[in-house]
Amino acid sequence: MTSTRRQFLKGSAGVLVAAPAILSSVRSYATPDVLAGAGIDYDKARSEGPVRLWYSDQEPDVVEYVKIFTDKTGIPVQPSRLATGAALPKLKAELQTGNVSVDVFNCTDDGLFDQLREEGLLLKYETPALSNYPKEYKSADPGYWTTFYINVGPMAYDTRYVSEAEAPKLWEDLLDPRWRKQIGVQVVSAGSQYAWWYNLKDVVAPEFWTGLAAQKPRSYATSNQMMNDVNSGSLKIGGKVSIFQYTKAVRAKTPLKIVLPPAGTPASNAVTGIIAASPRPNAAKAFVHYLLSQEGQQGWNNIQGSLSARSDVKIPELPSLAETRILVPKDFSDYRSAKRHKEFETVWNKVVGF
Amino acid sequence: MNANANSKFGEAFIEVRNLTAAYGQNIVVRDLSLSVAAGEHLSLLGPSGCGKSTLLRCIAGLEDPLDGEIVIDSKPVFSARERINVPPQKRSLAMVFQSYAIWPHMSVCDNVAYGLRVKGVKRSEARQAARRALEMVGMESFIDRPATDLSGGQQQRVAFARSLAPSPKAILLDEPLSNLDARLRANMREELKELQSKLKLCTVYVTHDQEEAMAMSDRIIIMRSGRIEQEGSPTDIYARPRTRFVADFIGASNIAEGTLKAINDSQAVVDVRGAMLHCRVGDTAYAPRVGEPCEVAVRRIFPQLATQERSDLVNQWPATVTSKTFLGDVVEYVVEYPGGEFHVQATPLVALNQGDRLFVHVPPEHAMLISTAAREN
Amino acid sequence: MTGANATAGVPLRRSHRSWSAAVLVPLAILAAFLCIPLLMLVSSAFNVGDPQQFPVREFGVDNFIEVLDHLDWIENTLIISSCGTLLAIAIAIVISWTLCRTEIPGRKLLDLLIAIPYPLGPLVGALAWHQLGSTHHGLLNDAYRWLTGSHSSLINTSSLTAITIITALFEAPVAIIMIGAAMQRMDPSLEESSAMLGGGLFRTAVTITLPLMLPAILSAGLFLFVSMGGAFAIPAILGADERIYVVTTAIYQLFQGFPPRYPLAAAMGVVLVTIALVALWLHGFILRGKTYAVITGKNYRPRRIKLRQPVKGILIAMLWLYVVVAVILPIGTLLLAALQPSSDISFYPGNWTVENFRFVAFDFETTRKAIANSLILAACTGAIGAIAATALAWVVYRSRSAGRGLLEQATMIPQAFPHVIFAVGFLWTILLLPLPIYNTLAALLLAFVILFLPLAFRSMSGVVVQLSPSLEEASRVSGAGWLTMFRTITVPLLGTGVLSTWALLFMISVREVSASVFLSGPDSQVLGPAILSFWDSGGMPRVSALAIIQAVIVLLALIVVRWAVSRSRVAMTN
Repeated sequence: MTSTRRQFLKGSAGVLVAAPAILSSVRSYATPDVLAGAGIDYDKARSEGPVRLWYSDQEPDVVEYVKIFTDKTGIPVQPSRLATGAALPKLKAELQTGNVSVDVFNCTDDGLFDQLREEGLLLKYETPALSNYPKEYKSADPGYWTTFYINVGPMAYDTRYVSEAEAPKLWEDLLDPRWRKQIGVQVVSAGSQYAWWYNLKDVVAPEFWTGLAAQKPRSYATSNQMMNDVNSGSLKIGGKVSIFQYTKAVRAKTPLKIVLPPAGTPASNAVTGIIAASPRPNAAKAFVHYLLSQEGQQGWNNIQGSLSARSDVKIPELPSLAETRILVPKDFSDYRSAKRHKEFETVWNKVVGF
Repeated sequence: MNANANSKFGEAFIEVRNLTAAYGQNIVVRDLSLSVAAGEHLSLLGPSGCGKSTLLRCIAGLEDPLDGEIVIDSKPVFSARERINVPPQKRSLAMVFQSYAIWPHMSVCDNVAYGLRVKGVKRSEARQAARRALEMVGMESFIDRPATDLSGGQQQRVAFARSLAPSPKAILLDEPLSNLDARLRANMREELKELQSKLKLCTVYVTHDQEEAMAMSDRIIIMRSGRIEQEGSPTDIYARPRTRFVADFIGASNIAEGTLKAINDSQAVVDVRGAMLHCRVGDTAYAPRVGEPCEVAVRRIFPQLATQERSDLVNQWPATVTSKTFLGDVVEYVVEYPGGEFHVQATPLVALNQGDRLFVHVPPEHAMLISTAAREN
Repeated sequence: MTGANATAGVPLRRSHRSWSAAVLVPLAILAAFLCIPLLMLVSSAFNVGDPQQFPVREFGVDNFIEVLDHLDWIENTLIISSCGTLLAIAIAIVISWTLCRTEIPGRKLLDLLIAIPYPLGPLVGALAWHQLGSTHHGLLNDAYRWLTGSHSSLINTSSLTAITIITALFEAPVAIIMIGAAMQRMDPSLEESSAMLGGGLFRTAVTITLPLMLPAILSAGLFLFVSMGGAFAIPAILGADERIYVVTTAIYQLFQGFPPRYPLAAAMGVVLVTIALVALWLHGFILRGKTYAVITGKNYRPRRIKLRQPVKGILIAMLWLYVVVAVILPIGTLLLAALQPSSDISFYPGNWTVENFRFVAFDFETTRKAIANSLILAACTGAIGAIAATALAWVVYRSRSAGRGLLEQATMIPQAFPHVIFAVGFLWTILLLPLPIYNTLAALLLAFVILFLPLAFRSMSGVVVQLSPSLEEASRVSGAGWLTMFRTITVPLLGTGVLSTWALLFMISVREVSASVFLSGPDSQVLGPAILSFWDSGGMPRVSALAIIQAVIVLLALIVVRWAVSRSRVAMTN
């Protein structure tokens, strides 16, 4: 074959191969309003395929929220529920094999997330919404992780089984012998449980924890499960529930009451961030952009019933951020440290009898 | 020891030379040679464990011998020296198994036609052949029935029909009647014999039942511990057992042990505890020498019992009846004589009782001298 | 040299002592898949350096010393294992004796119903009994309180006793089948001679039947002991309220920790495996030389004893009690819960809804995928497992190669691994090896095939052994080559046996939870972990709906098994 003919064949073959790509890219999508200013290539975001989201929140809530996002942006999402404790080794394993299957990680353990940031595993993405978040609700170098809801952890009880008079008002009331074996907490691997202990330990006496262990509290994998037992009467006090459980209960007209002691209620940041190794950066950014926007925050927190870090978001059933005394971590490097985690594990294993 | 084909039948169709075979860890066939002619019916008779089934399976190709040669229809199918081992499907033999091996998932027709279908015969032709084969065994009305419908005896016939359908040149049978009850067995034996005489197939038939072997065979090989103990026609073996084993196996015998006093080509005298027993010599090649211990076999039907002594007879002694057993067609007496004991089978017409004194006479031509020397092979 | 007509067939002088490739290759594969996970487990157990470091660099015994701090886990496991085994064996003896040796009405129905609890699975049982017997909200306790007006509860399913009993109830059918099979192979004249000599019913049963059954009973007992030691679902669901941990649930918790505490988990695993291996060795020692597979022996028609009242009534009541407690109540409760719109149970059909079923089967992607994945995984496990088991049974029982006995032993070894332990070792194995099967169904498939191999082998060896070699020899003598023989004789005759093994594996694969909870990932969700995770999230109606769907799938497969078994019995009677 002569060289010209070969070149011609190569060229036409190349055109044939490229034709679909060219044609599809010729058809450009209009960026939806909600993603305006997101700083992404929208067409790329659409073609990158479904955003793979890891989360540990309640499945129905996430599914509902994700549907709204996809409706508004046309970008599909593939959510997978993972307990935080299970997610990290999986992530590490996937990074090892080079086959990362997660783009956006919604995590209830902010300390863990900061660790990831330090290891360079997160993508820095500065969405314009960041300016609405006070500094304790985002990474010190903004853009790596941001709080997408504040997980406040009050006590809770059902007035059908516990009267308001006898209900605990202070944290120390949990040590009352009448609540023996009737207090619920979460398992040691729950990120929010660590934060709760970390933030509470500074306002209670050190003996509080041994006292709590002596009460033989029951451990639950999720607060949802705990709430079921509170509502059915088999558990009298939810020692640490998530505030959105309260919101949901109010909406379902369940007689649930929460206790926000004057000393303060521990809370943890549920944070969102993009994994640097993600093969779908545009789609991931679109997701985070929307989640942190006012519309996304209002949508998500309304669905779940939690507190947003943005002051321009209001959930009708809850007091506003300004009205409640919340205990959040101040020193992140201490909060993140392995030393503290080990301390927590030792204390908590005793508390739950593991 | 060779057991060559009866010359009446012509050339050997199946030849086995110096075959040695094992079953598991044991050698069960030792350096055995035999041949079977086309049209001849050979029975391999012996107790269990003597190697007869293994030998048959070696001929079929279902077992691999350790050494020796097997030639079928002038073609070597096994040779240890030349490393030949033709697989069973290529040996063109027919075989009937002890368990009949009727395939339960097929109809009778499919079972019988299998051998033809495997060779590529068209379905309709194969069905014809199957029908003919089934007619031969009287099972043609079962042709389309499922195999699971058959009783034991019916399965046996179908197994036979299956082996005949491809018109084989030789057929191997491994104790085909042993799973049937006595009456059925007797009937089947008759039928098989009829079929035999019609078809004149080269047959190798393994059995442990001496009646079967005698009824059906042109020639019998008695096997023991992997070797041939004796071979010959049924009457031959019956009349002239060479060893105690054969005498015991075929027919019911008395064995008298004694010392050889005199011998010539055809007769001998044995001292049985003082009683002089005159007997016949079967095969001088195996006869013991004077003064050596030996045995004499006397079939139970032959001793004659009489109340009177007769003067001109040898082998006559006074005797006492020590026991009497009524077996229906036959009455068996045990009589004590100076040399020991004889079991005597008599008709019920001879009415004797326990304790009766009489005379027992053994015609010398019905007493066989048996060697006790170790057999050479 | 060779004759002109010579046809080279099978090799000459096949020495009966040589090891053929058919034995060596499977042995090598099995050895690899059993030893490597075990090695990973053991090495992690001795790891005193970074818990997540693979391969392990620093070795020490610290983890085992730490195990001593948690002896209550081992104690709980041993209590459940030993007491549960005793209870299950007792149940099994009574039930199998009554079903096999006596005449009672409704025998066939009882036979079918009693086979259900095992494939139904401990997960279903645990969920149901939690719903029935939890102190505050359990249906039975509510009924009791309503009936008697008392404030206390009748039963507490969160206690160690309850866990033991419920585990025993759901594992008993295995023992029933094993002991029943032995009873059917017993020569009835052994009992009849006792009767002739004057032995009454009870005396005969206790002094003749029972001792003769002892090998089968011991066999079943040791199998159950190991199986219950690895119980996961029941302690996980019922033990949470009272903070009762067993080794398997403790391992699971340790895996959830931050960082996951692999070495301690591995040390616990090693302890459990050691106990199981000792039990297995003990079993082999006691039975010395007898094989595991149910083989040979003529099938007698056992004489059936006609019982008199009140014994008859008592036994029938006991059997039906078992059926109620292990089948009817659990399925009924879950069905009831699945039809509810909320966690409160209403008995009024007007309030019922099928919304939950629709949700988990169609609307909710995670569960929809889990159901689909489970079906695919189960079908593949069944296919590969049945074929592998057939090939292995063939080599063990038909070939004459040396090493067959060893191959059979090796095939049975996965029994000694509690599923959780194997899954853990297997997980580390596949992470370390350059196989990209992590987080795929392939990882689960491989693990399942190995774990269920003993069961499949046991099932197929019965079929292979019953297939008389003369059926194939007749075919070959008739002129059929190997392939034709295979196609026309072997495959059709084995067919129903293979089908029943397939269906058996299908059932077991669907109901498996202990191994899959470790090996399944976000992309490879299957029913067991999905149900557990759903349970964690709360919402009894939806969990129940999912559990009912699993139960239906399993029951359909059970029907296939029984149909196939009855067909193969017809084909084999010759």
